[in-house]
Order: sequence, then structure tokens, then C-alpha cells
Amino acid sequence: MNTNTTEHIEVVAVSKSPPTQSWSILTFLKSNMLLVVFAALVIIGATTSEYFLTPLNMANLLRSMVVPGILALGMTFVLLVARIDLSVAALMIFAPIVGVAIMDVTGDIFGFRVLVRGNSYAGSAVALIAIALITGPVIGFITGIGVVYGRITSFIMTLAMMQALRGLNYVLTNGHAYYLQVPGFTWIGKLQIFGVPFSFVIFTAICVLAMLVLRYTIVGRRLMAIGGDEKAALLAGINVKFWVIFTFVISGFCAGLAGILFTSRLQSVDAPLALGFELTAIAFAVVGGVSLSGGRGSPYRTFLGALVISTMLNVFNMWGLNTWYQNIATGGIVILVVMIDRFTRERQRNTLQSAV
Amino acid sequence: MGLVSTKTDESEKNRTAEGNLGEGLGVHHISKHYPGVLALDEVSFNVQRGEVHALVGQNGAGKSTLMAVLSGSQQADKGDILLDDIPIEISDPSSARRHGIAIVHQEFALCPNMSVAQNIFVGNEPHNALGVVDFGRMRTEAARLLDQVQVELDPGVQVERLGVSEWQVIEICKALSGNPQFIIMDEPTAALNDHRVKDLLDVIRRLRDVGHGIVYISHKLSEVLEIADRITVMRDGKIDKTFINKGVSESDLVNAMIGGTFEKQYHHNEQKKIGQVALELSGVNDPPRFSDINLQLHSGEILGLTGILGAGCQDLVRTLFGINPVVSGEIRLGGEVIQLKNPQDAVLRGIGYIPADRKHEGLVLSLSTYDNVGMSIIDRLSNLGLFGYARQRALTGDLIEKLSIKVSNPKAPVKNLSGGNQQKVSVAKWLARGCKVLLFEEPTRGIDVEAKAQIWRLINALTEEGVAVMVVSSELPELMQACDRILVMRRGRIVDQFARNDFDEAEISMRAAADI
Repeated sequence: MNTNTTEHIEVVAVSKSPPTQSWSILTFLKSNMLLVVFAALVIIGATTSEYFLTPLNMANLLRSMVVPGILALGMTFVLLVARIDLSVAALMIFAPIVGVAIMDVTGDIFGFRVLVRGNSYAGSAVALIAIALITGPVIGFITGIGVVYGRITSFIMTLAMMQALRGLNYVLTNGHAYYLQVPGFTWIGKLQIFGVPFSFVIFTAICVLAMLVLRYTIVGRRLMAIGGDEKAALLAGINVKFWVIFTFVISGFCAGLAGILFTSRLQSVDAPLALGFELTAIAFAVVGGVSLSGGRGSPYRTFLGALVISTMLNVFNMWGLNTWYQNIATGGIVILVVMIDRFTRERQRNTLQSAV
Repeated sequence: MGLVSTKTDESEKNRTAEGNLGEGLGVHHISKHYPGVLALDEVSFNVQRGEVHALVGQNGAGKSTLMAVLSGSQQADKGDILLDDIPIEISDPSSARRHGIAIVHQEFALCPNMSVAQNIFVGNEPHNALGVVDFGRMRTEAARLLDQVQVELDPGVQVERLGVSEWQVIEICKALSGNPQFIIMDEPTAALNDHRVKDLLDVIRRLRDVGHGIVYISHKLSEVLEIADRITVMRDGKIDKTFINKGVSESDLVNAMIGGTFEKQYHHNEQKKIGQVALELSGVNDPPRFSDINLQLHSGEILGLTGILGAGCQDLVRTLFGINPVVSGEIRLGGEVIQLKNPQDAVLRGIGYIPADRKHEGLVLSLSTYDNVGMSIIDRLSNLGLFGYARQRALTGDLIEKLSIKVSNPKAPVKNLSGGNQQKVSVAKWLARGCKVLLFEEPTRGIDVEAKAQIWRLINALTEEGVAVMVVSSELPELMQACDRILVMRRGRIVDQFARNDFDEAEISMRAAADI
């Protein structure tokens, strides 16, 4: 052991010299690896199924990624500050239900009927959308307050919110579905622009908007700082509490929006819908390369993650693979990606500590 | 100070030494309590523009608390903060910054995921009315700041790819980015090597010369004497003395820091027999934490290990307990070469570790005294797979009695015990295991004088039974009374060894802090 002491030290010294190019190449490959995977999936899909490249399937593919994709986009904000939001799927169903419920109550007050033929909604589409879009951020705000001022770990707080909202969904609908066949509302779900679903256009647009905000504004800098090192951010005079609540409000807004797009397509809303969508959303973000430990990731990454997983699931569908196996595959991929993320983070932290 | 001085000289000197309270940044009769400790006791202190005012003192003297109050991360219980003789309110770090006060923290507070420029302007980014960050200006401003401190560094590079000395520079640029009038630097050179220290001192001089007022905290007295215009010594939460840096020597400072003689209150048995070598290290390396460590620890011996922060004492002890791997070198326990891959290995070999962070690493606060003491012997307490509560109580009860741990109810959580008793519980844990080598890290931190004496008596009693004890401590007076030998570490190496008869506080402090 003593004989090779000096060699050993040299090896250590070499590996410690920090600014190497290899890391940036790795990051480059990692972010582009998803594009390679996506291309491979498209090729596999096209060669194994004659229906894969049909306009109908393409539209379906794009549409399938919109709802969990928008949830994932909101999730990205929360993940960037090293928190998590498990309440998004429940909230996404809650928002339109609240819309119907509030319209029903106002209808009673002003003497017009909102619910006809049992559970069919016949009120204003605009009002329903507006209420849903307000409900999302309001609930997000409450969650944020709980996390920041109630000092409840975001995991527990949002898990509890999820459970409570699911319960409320049953209370407000009385366990029955509401049918939302208002023309102005269902139109959103049907509209296509040059064969591209309108909802996908919205998803892409808010992805770009979120990317611009996170990359080019002080908002993005603050969230990145909080996720990178919360104490450093605090000592730099950043209002950490405010910005953490802000991310939950954004996540809530995204959930409200996703709820509108989801229910306008289904033309109904029902309490047990969208079970487990929060996990799909997390999978999109994480597979895209958003770190669960904060400070790393972007809406672009989330978009790529959504694209890859949705395409993979679509190809499985083409093969007629049961959703059971699809779930297993998604779960496995998330575990793999998070593990890789953890190990790379750990290595970096080790070098950081040893240097101090 | 000069021996020959006229009366006017003297009075002028005194006036400047105390500083003109009307100018610059000052605190006036500031006090700050922590539970059980008076961290700041009626402290008045000021720094003027265009001067470097150094603040020195031993650990726990109150320097860091004073700086925390000035920079807004702590609030004083009473007293005023004055900026040009006007009382100001500093309620949080950002209000300190608004008043032109910036701090360079001892610990790095950087976001590894962001670039140099982004870190410099974190929370303070140049932006337009829409909140769009002006990255071009941020980059040029960062480059200008780096240029101002004359350091060549690409503002676009990610912080996690840089080294410690760059981090320090980034921290300073971060402080400068708010264009502060006053900069507080807490041990800015702690992590730097000699060459970098020289560069950093040049940077500080330049900042002073353009009119910044700088408070400079350091353990390294040679640096302080090199850079400071005034030097204030703190001791036990009070200002002891303020020197004009003219003809002051390191020993003047050390004497003021120690503050006269220390009462002899910690028991040491001079007749005790020191036995065989229990633990021997030869050429143990873990660069950059420490390197080339050779030492022998005998059974029945109390070996003190001291050094300033970052000297590697803690790292060495943690390695001996298997927390960090040994990169190279040989560790022998009772003559036999051993491998320590993890704490489990160390425990199985009979090595016990009493960490400085008692509340998190030394104890499980929510568990009872029985459970905490019995934690090291869970494997020995099982009967056919069932946990032997009766045996646990019998074994740990004996130890509670033997160490005279004062617990009203040994089934109650240890979080309600006093610091001294908690420390005894974390020692008892290893005695239950029958450990022959005990590694103590800052065993008396945060406990009162009475309990300190008890802990040292306990350590002494253990050595009489043949246990080999190694103590890392920054409380030099305590080490000097209790230890048989003291090793001094500096920059990851053992630089000196003092036998009990040669103990000299000034000498040891100087060796630990010397910057040669």
C-alpha cells in the first residue's frame, strides 16, 4: 500500500483539476440525448405500425401530452425551488367543478337555471373558464402559504391538499358527472389549426412564455438562486418565502388551465378523473432533466420529456400493449433517471466539500 | 506600541484608537443574548471609510455575532447601529445592503448551478421595467468588478466548475456589486493558500484606498498585522482593547485575546500511567483535507489536537471514525493494521466518536436516555430476535449511575437534558460498547463552566481505566489543563507537538495561526 502512495495522490490531484470540457459536452449530449431518443421512437413507431404516422395518430399524440404537459410545466417552477406539488391532478379536476358549482349558486340567486336535465351545464362558457382559471392559483396560493408559513414539507402539504381536493370534488359533484356540452366550451377541445390541436398550440405557447420568463427575467434568476442554494439566496436578500409561494401559484394556474383543456375535450367533469396525472407530470419534468433537488431544469427540458414519454406511450398503444405494462415502463424510467440525477449531484457535492 | 511618545502623540493616538463615533458605521452599546450565553455585552465598535479595522478574538468571543448584527442576519437585544451618527434599523440582509453594508461570509453562499456573473448579481440583477434581466450589462459589470479586484475569471463560467479561491473572489465581487460603503469580511482567507492570500490582501488594500470601510475578521494574526489600520480584540462578548496598528506585535494581540491567566479548574492526574500505543497513524493522507499524518495515541493518554478552522483536525478525527475514507497511509490499532471503510468498521474495532454537533450527530434527541446509551449495542441486546429491554435498562442504568448523569426519568427524551448531561449520554454510548479509543470533537462546546469541568473529569477518569482519548478542541486553555500532549495542525498537517511541561498558550496559538 505504501509503495503506490505517491501515484495515488497524483491521480487524485489530476481528477481534482476542475475546469474540464468534458462536463459541458456531457450536458450537451444529455439535453440532446432526448431528441435522439425521440427520433428513435418515431422511427420505431413508423416501421412497426402503419398507423403511427397518420395525421389522426399524430394529432392524438400531440393532444395526449398537453394536459400532463401543462401540469408538468407548472411542476417545473415548483421543482426549480426544490419543492414538489402532488395536488395538481386533483386541482385540475377541482377547478372546473368549482366553476360549475359557483355558476349554479349564482344562477339560484339571480333566478336562471345553470344545470339542466339533471347534471348538464348550460351556463356561460366564459364564466366557467374564468372561475377555473382563478381557482387554480388561489388553491396554489393556499398550498404555498401552508408550505412557507405552516412550515409543512411540500410533499406532505400537497399530498394532503390532493386528498382534500379529491374529497371536495365528490362533495361538489355529489358523486355524479357534470356534462359540459356548452358550445363555447367544447369548441376548445375540438378546434384544430392546420391539423394541430388548439390545446397543443396553447401548451407550446405557454412553454415558450415560461422559458422566456425563467431565462430572461429576474424572476428566473431568483428561482434558480433559491433552488441552487436557499441559504445563499436568503443571504443575498431574496424574499425566498414570496417566491416559493409564487411557484405554487403558477403550478395552480397551470392546473386550472389543464383542467379546462382536459374537460373541454371530455365534455364532462367527474370527481375520479385524472388519477395519477401528478405523477405523469413529475415524470415528464424529471425525464426531461429537471432536478428534484432544485436549481436545474427549464420548460424546454420539460417539453422534451413530455415529447419522449408521450411518444413512447403512443408507440406502446400502436403495439396494443396493455396500460399496465405502460405504467411499469414509465415507473422504471423515472426511477432510472432520478437515480442518475442523484449520483451526478452527489459527485459534484463531494468535490465541493472536499475543496472547502 | 512605541515606548517614547509625547503627551500629544498619546492623546491623539487614543482618540483615533477609539475612533470618532460620529463618522462611518458603528454600533453603540449593543447586547445580544442567546439561551444561556451573553454573546455581546454592551459592545461599541466602529469602522470608518477608507480604513481596514480588524477584529480578532478566540472562538466564542462574539465576533461573528457582532457581524451578524451588522449585516442583518441577527438582531441585537439592545443598543443602536449608527451610520454617520444616525441610528439605523437593520432588520434583514437586504436592509443592511440598502444602507451600504455588505458581508463576505466565512462559509461560501454560492449557487453552484449558476454562472459567476449570475452569482455576483444574485438577488440584485440589472433589469428593465419589465423585469427582463440585462445579461449583457450583468456580464460587463461582473467583468468590471473582477477587473477592479484584478482577478482574471470568465464571468460566464459555472461556479461549480471553479475552485475555492475563485469562490472567495466571487463572494467579494458579490459584496461589491451593491456598491457598498462598508464591507465585512469574515475569515476571507480561511480557505486560501499563501499565494492567494497575498493577492486577496492586495485586493482589500485597493478597496480601502478607494474609500471603502472594511471590517476584517481573521484568526491569522500575521495577516491582520499586515492589512489592518486598527485592530480590536474581543473577549467573552466584550471589546477588550483597540490597537492602532503601529508597532503592535502578535504577542500583544495574543495576550489581549487570552486575557490574563486562566483559572486552573480542570482536573489532571499527574501520576497517571500512560500505557502501550493504542492507535498509530503513519503517512495517512486525504488531500486536500490533510496529508502525511503520523501520530501515536497511547492507552491512558489524553491527546489534544488543535488548529484554526480548516486546519484539518475535524477531518482527521472523522477519518479515524471511518466517515471519510483514508486515501493512503496506514492505521494500526493495537499493532494490527486496520481498514476503516465506514463508521461500522470503527465501532466494531472499539473506536468511539463524540461529535461536536451533539444534537444532530451525537444523540437522537427524541429518544430516551436508555435508548441513546444503548444505541451502540443494539446488536448485543437481542434475545432470539426480540429486543431485550430489560437488559438494555440494566446495562445502560449502570452507566447512567457510573457517569452520574442527572436524569429524572431515563425513559424521557434526551432533548430535555442539559448540555453537559447530553454530552455524558453521548460518551456513555461508547462505554456501553466497551470502546478503548475515544475521539472527542469540541466536547465542551456550548455547555457551562461547571459542566465543562465535569466532562474533563470524566475524560480523565476514562483514561485512568486505560482508554485512549483524542480531543479536538479550539478551547486551548482547557486542552492545556487536561491533556498530556497537544498536537498543532495547520493546513492539514501536524506542525508541532507540545509535551505537557512545555505547554505555553501564546506559543501554541501562534503556531496554529502562524502563516509561514
